Amino acid sequence: MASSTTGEKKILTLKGGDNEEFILEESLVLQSELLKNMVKEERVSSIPLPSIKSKTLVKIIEYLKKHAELTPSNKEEFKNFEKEFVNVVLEELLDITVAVNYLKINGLLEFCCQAVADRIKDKSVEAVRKIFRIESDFTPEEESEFRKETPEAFEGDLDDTTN
Amino acid sequence: MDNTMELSSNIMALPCEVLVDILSRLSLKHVHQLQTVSKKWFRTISSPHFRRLYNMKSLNRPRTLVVQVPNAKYSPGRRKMISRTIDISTMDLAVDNREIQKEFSFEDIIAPESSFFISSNLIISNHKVCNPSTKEIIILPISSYPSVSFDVAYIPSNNTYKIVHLYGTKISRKYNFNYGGELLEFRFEILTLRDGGPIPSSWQPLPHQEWFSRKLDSTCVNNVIYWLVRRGDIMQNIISMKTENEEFLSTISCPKEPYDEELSLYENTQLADLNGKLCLAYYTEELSRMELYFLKDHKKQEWVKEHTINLSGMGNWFKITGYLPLQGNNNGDIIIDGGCKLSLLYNIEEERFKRLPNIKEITYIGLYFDRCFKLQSTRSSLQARVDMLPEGDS
Repeated sequence: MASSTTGEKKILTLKGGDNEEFILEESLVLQSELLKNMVKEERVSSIPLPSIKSKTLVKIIEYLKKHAELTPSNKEEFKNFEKEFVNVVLEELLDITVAVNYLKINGLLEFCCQAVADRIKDKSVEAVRKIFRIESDFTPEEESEFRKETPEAFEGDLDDTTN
Repeated sequence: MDNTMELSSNIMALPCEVLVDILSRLSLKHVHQLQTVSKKWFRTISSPHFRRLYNMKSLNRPRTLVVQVPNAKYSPGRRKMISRTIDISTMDLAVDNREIQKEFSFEDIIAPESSFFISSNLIISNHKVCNPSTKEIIILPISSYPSVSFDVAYIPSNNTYKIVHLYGTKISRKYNFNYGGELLEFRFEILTLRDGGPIPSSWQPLPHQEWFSRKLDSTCVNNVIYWLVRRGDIMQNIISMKTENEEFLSTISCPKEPYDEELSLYENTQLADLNGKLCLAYYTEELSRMELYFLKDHKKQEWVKEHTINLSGMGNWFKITGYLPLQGNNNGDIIIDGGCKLSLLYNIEEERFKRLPNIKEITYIGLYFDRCFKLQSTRSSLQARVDMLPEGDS
C-alpha cells in the first residue's frame, strides 16, 4: 500500500482497538520505535492496533503532539503537561503504560513507570493488592511464615490506603 | 466488540519487564515486603535479573550512610576497649528535609587485631563483614597478618563484591606506623562475595607484591582500587588494581604541588571517587585549603587541577567521602567529613558550603546505595515453595 500524501507531509492512519481511526502526520509516530519500523520497512499507511483502546490512543497521540512541539523555551510547560498527563485513574495509567511499552516510546515509558511506582510507594501489601486487583495465591500460613523468616523487611508501618 | 473485557487491563497484564522496571524504583525494604503480594511478584522480585537491574538503578539514587559509636566498654582501668555499639543510619540528601534515619545497631566485639573499614557499602570490622542493606553480619575467613587495609569494589554486571586485603609480610612490624622511610614488602589477598553466598572459606592470595613504606589512603573508582602509598620520606605513588580481572595497573606518580615541602610534613593527601573520577586532594592546614586534582589519563599519568576549596575557619581536618550528583542537574555536592560532628556539603559550581545537621558520636559519613545483595543464603520456605512451581504459573 502506498502512503497517501497531503502536500509534503505524509499521513498515517492508526486504528484503535474499537476500530476508531486516527489520522495523523507520519512524522509524529516516528517517536514510537515499533511504528517507525513498520512505516520505514513496510511503507504502510494504515496500522491496526487492536490491543490498544481508543481512549488510550487519544492520550498517547496527545503526548506525541506535545512532545514534537517541545523546544527549550517551553520546557516548563511540557513538564506541567507531563504531570497532568499521568494524573489519571490508575486503570487508565496502566493501560497507557502497557500501550507505550508495546509501541516502544522510550521516554514516555520511563515517565509512566515512575508514575506507577509513585502510586505504590510506601503502600502495604494489602493496599497494593487492592490497587491492582491482585488476588493473593499465598495461603495466610505461607505469608506469616515469610514474615517470621524476614522480620527486618516488615518493620515499620506502611500505608494501607488505596488512593 | 467482544474483546472489550480483554482490553481492560490491570497490573497482571503488564509485561514482566515493565513490572520489573516499576518495582526497581521502590525502596529495597518495600520491595522485599511486596514479595508477598503474589507468587508472580515473589518470583519477579527474587530473580537474579531483577536484583542486578535494581542495583544498577540504585546507583542513580545515592543516599548517605552514617555510622555512629554511641558507647564502648573497656577492660578494668579503661586500658583496652572490649566492645562498642555501632549505630547504622541513612540520610537522604536529595530532599530538603535532611533527617537521619536510624536503621539498626550491633555490638562490635574488638578483636586482638582491631580493624574498621567502610568501602563500597560494606562495613568490615574486626574480621566481620556487615551489609547495611540486609543487616547481615558474617564472620570473614581468617586473613593474613599483619593487616593494613580492606578495600571493597562492587561489580554491578554480576552483582558481586570483591574485598581486597592489603597486608604486610613481617609479623613483628607495625605497618601502619612505619613513619621512617624504610621500604617494606606488602601483599594482597582477595575474597569474592556472590549474591546469596556462601562466603568462601579462605582468602585467595595474589602473586603480586609491592614495596613501599606506608599506605596513606585508598579508594575504589569504577571497580579499580587505588592505594595511595609513600615510598621513603617524601615520594608518594598510587598503586591500582582492576578488580574484575585482578590485574595490577601501572603505578601513578602524584601531581607536583607548589607546597610540596609543607605537604611532606603533614599527612594530608587523600583519594576520593568524585562522580566516577579519581580525585587526589591535598589539604594544607596552614593555608586552610584543599586542592583537587583529577586523573585525566592513567597511562600518561596526566593530572588536572580543577578546584580549590577554601576551608578557612572551618576546622583542621577534612576528608572527602563522596560525591552526590543532584537529580536532573549536572552539578552536585561533595560530601566532606570535617571530624568533630562537622559534616559539610560543598557545591563545586557555586563554591558554597551547606552544613549537615550535627550528628553525635559520628565516626563515618559517606555514600550509600540500596542494594539487593545477600551475603549468605537464607532460603525462606516460601522461596522453596515458589521455586517448585512451573515457570508459566502465576
